[in-house]
Amino acid sequence: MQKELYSLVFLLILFVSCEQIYHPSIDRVEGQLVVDAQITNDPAKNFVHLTRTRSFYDMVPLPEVSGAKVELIQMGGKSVQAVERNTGYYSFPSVPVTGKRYYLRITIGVDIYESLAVTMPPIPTLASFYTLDTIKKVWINNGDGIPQSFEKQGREINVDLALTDSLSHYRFDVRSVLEWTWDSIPSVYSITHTAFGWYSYYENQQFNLAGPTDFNQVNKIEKHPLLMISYNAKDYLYADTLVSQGWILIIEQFGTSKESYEYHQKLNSQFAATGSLFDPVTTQVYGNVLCKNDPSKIVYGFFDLNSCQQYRYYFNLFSPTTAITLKQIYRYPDIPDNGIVRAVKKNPIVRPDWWEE
Amino acid sequence: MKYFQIKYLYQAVFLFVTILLSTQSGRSQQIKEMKINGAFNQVPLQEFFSKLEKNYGIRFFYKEEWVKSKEVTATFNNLPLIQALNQTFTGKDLTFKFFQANAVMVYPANADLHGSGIDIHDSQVLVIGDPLNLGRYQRARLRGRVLEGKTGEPLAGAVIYNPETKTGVATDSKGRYSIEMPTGNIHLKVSYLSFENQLAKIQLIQDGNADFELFEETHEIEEVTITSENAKASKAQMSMAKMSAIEIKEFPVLMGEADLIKSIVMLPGVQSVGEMSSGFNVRGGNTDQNLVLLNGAPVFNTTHLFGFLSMVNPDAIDDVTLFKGGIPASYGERISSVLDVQLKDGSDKNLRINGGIGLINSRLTIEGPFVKKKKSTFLIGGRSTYSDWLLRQTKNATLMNSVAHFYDLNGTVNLEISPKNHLKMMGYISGDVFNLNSSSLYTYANTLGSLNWKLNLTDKLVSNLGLAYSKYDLKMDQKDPVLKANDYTLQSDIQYGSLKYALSLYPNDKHRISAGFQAIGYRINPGKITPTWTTSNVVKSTMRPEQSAEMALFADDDFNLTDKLAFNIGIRYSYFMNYGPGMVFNYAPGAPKSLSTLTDSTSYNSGANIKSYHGLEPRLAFKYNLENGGSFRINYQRIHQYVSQISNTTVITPADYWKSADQNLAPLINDQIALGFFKNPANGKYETSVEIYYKQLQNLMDYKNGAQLVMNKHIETALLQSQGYAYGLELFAKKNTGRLNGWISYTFSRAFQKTDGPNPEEKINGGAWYPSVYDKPIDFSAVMNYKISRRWRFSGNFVFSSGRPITLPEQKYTSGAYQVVVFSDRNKYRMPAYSRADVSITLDENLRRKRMWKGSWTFSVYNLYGRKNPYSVFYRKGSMVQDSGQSSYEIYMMSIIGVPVPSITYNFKF
Repeated sequence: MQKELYSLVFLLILFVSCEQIYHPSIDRVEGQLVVDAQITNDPAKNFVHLTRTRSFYDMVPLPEVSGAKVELIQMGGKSVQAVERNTGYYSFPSVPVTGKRYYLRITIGVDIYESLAVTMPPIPTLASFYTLDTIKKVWINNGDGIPQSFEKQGREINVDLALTDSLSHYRFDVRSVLEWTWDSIPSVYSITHTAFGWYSYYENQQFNLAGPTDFNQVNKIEKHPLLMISYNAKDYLYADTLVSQGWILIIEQFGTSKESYEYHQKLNSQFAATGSLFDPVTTQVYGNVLCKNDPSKIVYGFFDLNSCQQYRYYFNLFSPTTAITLKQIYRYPDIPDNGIVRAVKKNPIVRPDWWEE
Repeated sequence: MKYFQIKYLYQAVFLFVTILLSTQSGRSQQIKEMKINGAFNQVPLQEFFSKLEKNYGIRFFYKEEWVKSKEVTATFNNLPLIQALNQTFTGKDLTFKFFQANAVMVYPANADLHGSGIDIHDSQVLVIGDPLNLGRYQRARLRGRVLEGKTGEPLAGAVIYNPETKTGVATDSKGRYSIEMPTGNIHLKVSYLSFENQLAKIQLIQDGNADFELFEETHEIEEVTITSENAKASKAQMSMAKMSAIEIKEFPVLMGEADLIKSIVMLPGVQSVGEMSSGFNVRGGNTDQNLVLLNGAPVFNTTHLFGFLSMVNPDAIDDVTLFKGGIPASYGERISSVLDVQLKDGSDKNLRINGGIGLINSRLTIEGPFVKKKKSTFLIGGRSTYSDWLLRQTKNATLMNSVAHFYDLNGTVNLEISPKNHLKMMGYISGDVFNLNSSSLYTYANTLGSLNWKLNLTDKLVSNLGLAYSKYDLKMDQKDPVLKANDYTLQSDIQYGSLKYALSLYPNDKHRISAGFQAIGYRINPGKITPTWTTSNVVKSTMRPEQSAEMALFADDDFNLTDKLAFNIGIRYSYFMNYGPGMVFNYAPGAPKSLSTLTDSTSYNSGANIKSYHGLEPRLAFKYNLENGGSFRINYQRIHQYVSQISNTTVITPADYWKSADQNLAPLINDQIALGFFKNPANGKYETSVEIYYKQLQNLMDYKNGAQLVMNKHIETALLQSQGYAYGLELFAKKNTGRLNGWISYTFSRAFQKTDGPNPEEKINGGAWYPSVYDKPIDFSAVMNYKISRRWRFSGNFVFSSGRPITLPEQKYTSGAYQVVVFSDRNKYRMPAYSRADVSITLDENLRRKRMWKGSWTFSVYNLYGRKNPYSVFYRKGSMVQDSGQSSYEIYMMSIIGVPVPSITYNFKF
């Protein structure tokens, strides 16, 4: 009887909360200038992208702003004018100098826009790079749309970072490239083939930011997580016949300013709303660029002046009980997002140049 | 079976029975028709009664000496009881009366009980006073209580009405009444919602006491409704609602748990932000603008489980009074409303145990007299939950990965030192733990205590002394998922102590004068960081505590100028002082407060006046009785609020802390004027009202963009102060009596605010007026109860309201790999409307008095038609749940309860 009663109680519990995509009617609004300026010590990564905002439901291409005059001005020094290399994309022929303060000036017609001045941070470094065995709970909806939790065991890649007077805030872009191989014996020619393939995974759910922890007294950031990789390669490979050959981790480390750190924190909170009434009141994310001749004109985006350093590691793991492979790579060739190279096994030289084992 | 063999109890019981005799109920009608069978040959009358009791469940009340020498010789063959008794008593000097469902009173045909203090000249006249004093007094005061006959619970709001003098009074929260009338023969009509009315014939000689017991109405009776048209004739009060524990328990409930706040929000002008948000909003006001008092002690967090349940055990509630306007001068502290919750004193009859087993929690309450049938009583109750497992049954990953449980304990002790001297003590503690899918574990606790000493100095002068203490503690344990050394604990608390003394003078029924004072002390610890571990990266940090005192003098005069005109003129003077030790930061004059405009700071020694505010708070109310029985009322009030909750979430959360007014933060000020028309047609069978109000608000709290509120030692740099106004129309109609009763209410209201500082960063929406988050223009609710039979009853309610204002993304742009949105002006859009219907059916306890254990079952369905009511609308990249690696940028709408939720509750008492 007691068991039946429990069953009844469970049946009666249909306490359901659910979320659904919502399409409210939203006003169309005239586009406003967006300045996405990423200036670093690496000329290949420097750009100022000028666009305009689109109404929320607009599917039109991004409205690029062409023909603007874009200058990077050193406080008390000279200015450098950018060249528009692609429509809306401007880049500078030189890079900023560490420790100097710069601001951005953009002239579009009669309107002049200027950013706040930012100091170019020193080149960032990693105090240490290591992995830790980790178990994470992940929630995946089953066929009925009911979330079910699974434990995912793997290794979390962590870094330690220094906090100094000149550099105390960091941002990371992390890309992980999974190398895999595939061996087969096609029936037609009875020739063994081997395929070398790879996928790229980007940790881009949110900006990966590192800064001083609240109420913290130490002058370093410890165990800052970059990403987690599961021991089970099947979690990433789309076919059972593929065999993991390890990962290439490409880590872009940016030394950044406190203002940039806070700006990106606000963007993160925008991406991470949960719908709870405990969510902070929705607030606008304003950047650091203003219209000088008409302060009522709002400008979005951010003038980000960062120092940048790329690190690459080769990483392979199998199970919690077997040794991992972790080594730094000092070659920096371009690696396409994904690809496959097929070769007859007798001629394995088609393996990509950047391939690591 | 022998009843009332204890000689000394006889007279009291006889009084009880005699009063009951005046009620000619339909249940008696049923017993009269009961068919009797049997042959009796010289059977002693007592034995005859015993057989009827045994065979038919009829109860006989009599004095042994009246019946011991009498016998019955008769044969009954399917004879109605009334005929059988007529036949039995023919030729004997005894007569009888039916009362209640199954009782018969047997007594001498010409009873004369002189000497009992209460004479019965005929069976239905209650004599109050010594006949020797007949004619000595022109007027006399009758006091007593109105009780629920079945349980002995006091009935608050019952009406005692004298139709000859057209005067009446309502009982207070303890069921007590006091009415002055001309001496002589009078009729009193005693009525209460959903209970059988009682007509008492009284010969009033001098001051005296009489208690009345009312019984729940049943469908068999021909309804007789006698209520007072002018029960509150001497009061000009409006914008007030009372709710009894019985009414609260009749609402259909979610998860089987009757709930105070979910009942309150069914009243006009009272809303909540979301399905399960904390607290309630009155006439567009914020949650922290409500003064919620538990026996006089303020509650700083009124909910458990993030708003799922109110913090008060429904079994312990006696009655609830909500002042939305026209707040008496004796109350201050908060600008929107006062919710005065009175807990039960405990039964003065015998030990009782009440409890309930629900789906998310269970509760138990024990009450009784310290000494049987003495007036000093106690009540102790508690609740605990098993909600953690419930969260795991939800289909929401956030909730499934959360923790939430609570307990609460409450107790009251009521010492009746003498009939005119009462001392009451209350204690309450509660604890909540929750973790909403995060690495932060929140623990919060309320500790409350109060003492009230009420002394009738004379018949017309009452002294009331109240002491209250309240403490709210919040603790957040922050776990760093990666590095233990970064773990820390954040604590904050507010302590409150109050002494309130009032003298009330009642020169006559038409006049009441009260005056008194109140002294309040606050101590707020805004925040303290403590490392969790001995070896830690975390630095200890403590925000400066705030000490402040609030003092008030108040007086009001409530009087009927004529039969048609009544006034209430009140004044409250409040003085607030923020005192040292402390330090105040000074900023460049005219510049926005920020670290860059910080100039210096000023330190204050212990006890030094850092900043003080004061103000007069007039309270004016006027009532004019119209010829048609209706009344027109108007009131005005001004209130200052010196402490507020700091929160930048959509609603106040348990994690928010309190802040007192200081040099950089002025107190909230509310001016409200309300007009209303009230009429209770059909002799009070119906209650109708129309009210309109307008509120002007100063110094509302707002926050700068992305403000950091926790452990911010320069909190003033994050705060903005804004202005606001609200207005509304409230329509209310209620059917008080009958098998079908309930109410409908409709509210049209608006609430706006404006943040327009001199500097650009001190403006919201460019300094224009915008709807506040509590602006829900249309709010309709309907509540009905239907008594199907004596034990079965059906309840239902329906609510419809406009969606609350929200801020939506209006534009988008791309920043690298990310799509960023630009939000609209604050609160420019509105969520879809909210509507919900709930039903419940209750099988009440067995009515047999002899049964010790009484249980009732309630089956309810919340959200009957399964509407997916919006709880929140938000923009998010990708999905929290589906870890597909693919990101989508969408606006989502979340519903907390999107399906019908059935539940079952078992309540018991013994």
